[in-house]
Amino acid sequence: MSQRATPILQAFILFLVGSVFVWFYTYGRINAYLTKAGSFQIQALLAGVVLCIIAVFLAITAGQKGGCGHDHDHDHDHDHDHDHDHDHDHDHDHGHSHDDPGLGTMMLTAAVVLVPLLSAAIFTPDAYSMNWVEKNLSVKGVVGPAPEAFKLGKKSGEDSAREGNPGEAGTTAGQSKDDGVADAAGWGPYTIEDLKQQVDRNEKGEFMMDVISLFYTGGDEEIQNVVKGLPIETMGQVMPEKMRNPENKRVRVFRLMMNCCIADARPISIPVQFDESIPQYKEMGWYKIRGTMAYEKWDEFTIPVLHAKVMEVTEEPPQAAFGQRQ
Amino acid sequence: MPFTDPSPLGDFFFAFLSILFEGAPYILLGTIISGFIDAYLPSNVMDRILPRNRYGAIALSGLLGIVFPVCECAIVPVIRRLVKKGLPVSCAITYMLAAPIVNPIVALSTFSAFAGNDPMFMMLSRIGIAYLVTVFVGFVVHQFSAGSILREFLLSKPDHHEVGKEQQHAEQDHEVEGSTGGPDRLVLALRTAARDFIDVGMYFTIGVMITAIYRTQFDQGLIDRFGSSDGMGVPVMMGLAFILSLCSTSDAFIAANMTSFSSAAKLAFLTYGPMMDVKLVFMYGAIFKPKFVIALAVGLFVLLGFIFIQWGIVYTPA
Repeated sequence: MSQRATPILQAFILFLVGSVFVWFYTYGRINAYLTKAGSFQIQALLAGVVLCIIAVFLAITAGQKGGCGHDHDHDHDHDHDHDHDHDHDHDHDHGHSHDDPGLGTMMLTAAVVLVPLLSAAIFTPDAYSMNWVEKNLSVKGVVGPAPEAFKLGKKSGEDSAREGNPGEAGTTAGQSKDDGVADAAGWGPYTIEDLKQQVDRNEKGEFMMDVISLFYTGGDEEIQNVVKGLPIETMGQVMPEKMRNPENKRVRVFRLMMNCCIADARPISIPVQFDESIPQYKEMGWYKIRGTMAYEKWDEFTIPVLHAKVMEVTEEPPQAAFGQRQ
Repeated sequence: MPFTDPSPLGDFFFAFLSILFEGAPYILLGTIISGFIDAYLPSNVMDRILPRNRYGAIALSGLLGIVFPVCECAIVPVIRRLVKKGLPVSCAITYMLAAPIVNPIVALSTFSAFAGNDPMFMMLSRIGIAYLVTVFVGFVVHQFSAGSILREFLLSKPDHHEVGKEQQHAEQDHEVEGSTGGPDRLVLALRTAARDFIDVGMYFTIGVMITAIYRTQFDQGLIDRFGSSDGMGVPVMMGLAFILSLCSTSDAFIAANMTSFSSAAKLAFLTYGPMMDVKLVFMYGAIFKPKFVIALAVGLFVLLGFIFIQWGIVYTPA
């Protein structure tokens, strides 16, 4: 492969790869792929920009001699008197390799890198299909603690004491023999006042709770006893309910929960019960649902069920792929 | 705007791109470092830095991640270049396997992910076991010749001498250091970086495709059924870590939520994954002979599997 062609081809590959990164970031599509938390999105943008800069640099310097910036036709006039025995290859490496592949190998490499990348960039729907959601749905109840971002729970003793009246509102459960000590320390059971501190309410006074937070209330009896019967507004994507739905009065609302990238996302969902028939809806469409919370026992799990009064179409939120507390 | 409606193929593209967006910046970082190592680092510098005693050098290599924290994607091109620069293979492999775990970023993320769930125990166990295992692997690798491990193009260089044999070829450096100016070095560095990025990127792409197929075309919930005992849970979690190919900086957040599994199984997941996964198998293929990559994958699986099954028997965290 000619000396000039290698860096030109490398520049071409790098520029295309970098452009995809910049394209997805610039048009906001990266929001569907990487969480805004942390620096993942910025890293992707920086990578794209740096790749494009290197590509331009390589293209500009493609004609530079030797491909490595120094002359190999030097004289070996130094002293070879060191006292070990090995072959001296005077075509040796000067701290870098000259293992540039041939044109065929380069083209194959380019194809392996570029064909999947460009195909994916052009044809990706920026969303998972319902088939994927069904396959990965959290059909069981909660089997562990809620992730920190979606956790509802008692604040620290100091905070609680400052807010005063621990144990007020008569909505507590799970009383134990230690409660007196806990209350005295400001660590009383979870109350409606705690919920009010942690969750915003809409103009109707309904608690605006994320599907993921609602799902995880199923793992905490104390919180269930506060949330049960409360007016709730939530938002998510709606799909048919295929479990325990003999009267066909239920749908399922879900949000994706991802840590870093959408490939690690899991759909977290709860059933939504209607008193009458299910209103018309578009599968996988975005809806705001208002109703009251209830809980059902499904085998050993407690499942939160939203008894809906209203389900109305809503805009897809900006970070749709990333469930977050509303 | 997206161009197609969601579909199984669309699911694959979606997951594929997201893993690529997450991992490629680290590969780029690694390849840029690799390019600058190539252009600016004298061939024998690693020999000068590491202790002359090989076992001491291996033990120290396992801790280099504390000073040079790099994830598993970034480390492959760096290692490739360091090996070319004369870093002994045993030390290189120890650093390569340990650095994605034994580093402050991963320590912090592991601690955060297990907050409220014995985080100090999980963090120290992960780092401690990873360090001991990687140093052990380094000792084992030291018993073999570089020729049985490295690919041919890496062997053809004259700077593959073990510490102590000191065939340093120090004279090689004088031309590189003395004959060229800054711009030439920069061209060399970026050309090397570009070549490494494309080369390693090819293996990375293949690995990511396989991972994306698994994540989008198979039922992920099947795994939970194996969580009831460590006898099954540990190897299953290691297998899962192999297939999922998560970044070591974020895998703890995934493991922490796998509540069907014991802490031993989660530790197996967190230790094996950064050392060996689908994409790494292909990326390691850019440096090592296929037989060695297979032996490393199987050896680590058996060793870590044994350790964590025993660990689960003798220790249950609070």
